[in-house]
Amino acid sequence: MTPSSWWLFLRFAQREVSNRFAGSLLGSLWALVHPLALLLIYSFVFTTVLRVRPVAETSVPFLVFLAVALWPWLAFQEAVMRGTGAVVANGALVKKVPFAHEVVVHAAVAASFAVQLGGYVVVIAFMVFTGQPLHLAGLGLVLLCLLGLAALATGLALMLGALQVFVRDIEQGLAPVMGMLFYLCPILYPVAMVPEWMRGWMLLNPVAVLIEACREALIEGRAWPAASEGLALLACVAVLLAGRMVFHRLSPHFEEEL
Amino acid sequence: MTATVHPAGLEPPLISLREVGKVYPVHSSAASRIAALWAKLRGVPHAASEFRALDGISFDVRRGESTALVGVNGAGKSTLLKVIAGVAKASSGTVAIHGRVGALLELGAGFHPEYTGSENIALACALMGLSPARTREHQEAIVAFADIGAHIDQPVKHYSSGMVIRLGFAIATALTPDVLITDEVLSVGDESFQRKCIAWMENYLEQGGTLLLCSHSMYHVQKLCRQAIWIEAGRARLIGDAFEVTRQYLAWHDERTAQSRKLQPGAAAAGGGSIYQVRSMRLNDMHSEEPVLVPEGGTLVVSGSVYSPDDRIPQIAVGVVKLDGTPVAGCYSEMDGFTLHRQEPQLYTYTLTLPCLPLLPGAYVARSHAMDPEGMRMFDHVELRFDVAGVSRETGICKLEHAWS
Repeated sequence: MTPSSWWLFLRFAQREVSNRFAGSLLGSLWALVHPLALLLIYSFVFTTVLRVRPVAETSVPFLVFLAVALWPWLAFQEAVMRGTGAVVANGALVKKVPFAHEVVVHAAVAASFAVQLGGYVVVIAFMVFTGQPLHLAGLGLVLLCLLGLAALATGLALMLGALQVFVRDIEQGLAPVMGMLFYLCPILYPVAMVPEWMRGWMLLNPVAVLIEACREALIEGRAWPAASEGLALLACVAVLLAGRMVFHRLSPHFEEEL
Repeated sequence: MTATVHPAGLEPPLISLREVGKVYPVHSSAASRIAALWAKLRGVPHAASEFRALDGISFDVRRGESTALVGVNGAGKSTLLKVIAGVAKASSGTVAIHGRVGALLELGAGFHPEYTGSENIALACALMGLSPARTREHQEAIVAFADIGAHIDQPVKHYSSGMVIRLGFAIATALTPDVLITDEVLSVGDESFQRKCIAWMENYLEQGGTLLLCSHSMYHVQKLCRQAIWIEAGRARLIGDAFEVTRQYLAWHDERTAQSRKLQPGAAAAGGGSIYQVRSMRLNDMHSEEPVLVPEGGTLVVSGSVYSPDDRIPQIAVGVVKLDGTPVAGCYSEMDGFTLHRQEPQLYTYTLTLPCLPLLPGAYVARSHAMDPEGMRMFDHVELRFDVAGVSRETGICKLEHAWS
């Protein structure tokens, strides 16, 4: 991005965040309410109703086990979905004002991550404060994984957002796909519970690899990325580059289709 | 303004278009949509049903050479402005822009209805690439120029269209662009703001600014622009001097609209009407159909009456052109501060005396244009031919006082 696009990006990102809470009484507290509700309902279903025993190696309560993985997922999911809709949502602007169109996608992704990670920080701080055995030494790796997820979300949002201008079905199809992806990632369960023959396949999903890494970093204190995470990060960058390419191919034609 | 100083004449044109075309896809089915998308992803041209909005347009706009686009609705003027402003990409040909372009393409373009005027100023400045610090520098001037009072802190959705255009114009002009592109937006504001805009534009033009505007007001075109381009069905039908292009365009337009009333000079049209119009016109008080003969250095008196539908005092413009249409001179009652005389309800008269006519022998046409009381819009015109007789062997159009030594 050029410096002038950078100011525009900040302005849009700020607008995205403030838009979400404008006019609501609880304001930014809502950013915490939704994930906390999810956390409680999953926890109720899995520990009270289904009585799933956490596998031996996880020494923490299920709530903590779920919390460290849930926020990164929510950030990723929200970023992809909002980023994909960003160009069409800003159609009036695209048709009337010359500017670098990718800015709206970047702003949507950045705002989603900012809001969810704000909640993540609060929740981690709360858990540490209440004496949960989290390893803050792993925060560096968590940050690296989050950067990877942000890159992946940006790449997907650029690609899908550009296609969405031409084929409006993309957004409709995205919700069920994200719903399935949630269950295909080790968020509600550890990778160790997945049958042996499927684990190899799971490694092909960078979201699964990076979310599991976040959990291992915070719960087991692992500070350095493993080879599989390195590959996942490379895949994220590759998707980002591919997304940019598709976006730049299509963005000159947005005005014709919107 | 750009920092580099080019020697006169060497500066590249601010805007340079070569064979510019623009097509819009027309999708008939989902399959054609997918096929078009696939072609764009591969970067190859896609032969599908399409609407050709612009076709083979080439022209230059140099600094100080303000240009107007004229043409009927749907001719492609707005698309052309969009291509130049960088909102739409040309499908073929090249568009080269040197300098900062300020564009005011549509009423409230780029405004978010839920945000206040101030917030929209900030957003618009960011869209123009300004940092927050530079935005603050300009904010005050924009608010002052828009002059919409306390509304500046209310959501734009509650604005009247006049207030929206005030804010839009104030923002588009805040940075004093090298080229200001406007698309028929001046007609929206109220009289005082229109005057403010015109005054701003005249000042801007004096200081070397360049306008690219699209207007249906031939008066604005002639007053503000040097060059005009007549766009017809996506092609440039005529490019040249603003007076010449508007003259030909109007002639074509009159012919095209069969229902347009062709006023005969001297004959008062029957019935009322909703526009200001010239009801009668005479030269040197002659009633003949033959061209009036004026001796070299003689006096020409143009007189006539103007109908005013709302009985407000209309304005009048009188111009002299050569028989081939070359403009010679034009004057406006509004600029000269002349008030027309009320002869009877809704009918106003004027007499313009041109003494010591410095025109060289030849055939000329005098025209009277009816204008609204604000002097903003020109309505119809009536013209009469006159001949200047004489034996002068000087060349050109007019005689200049001169002395040899």
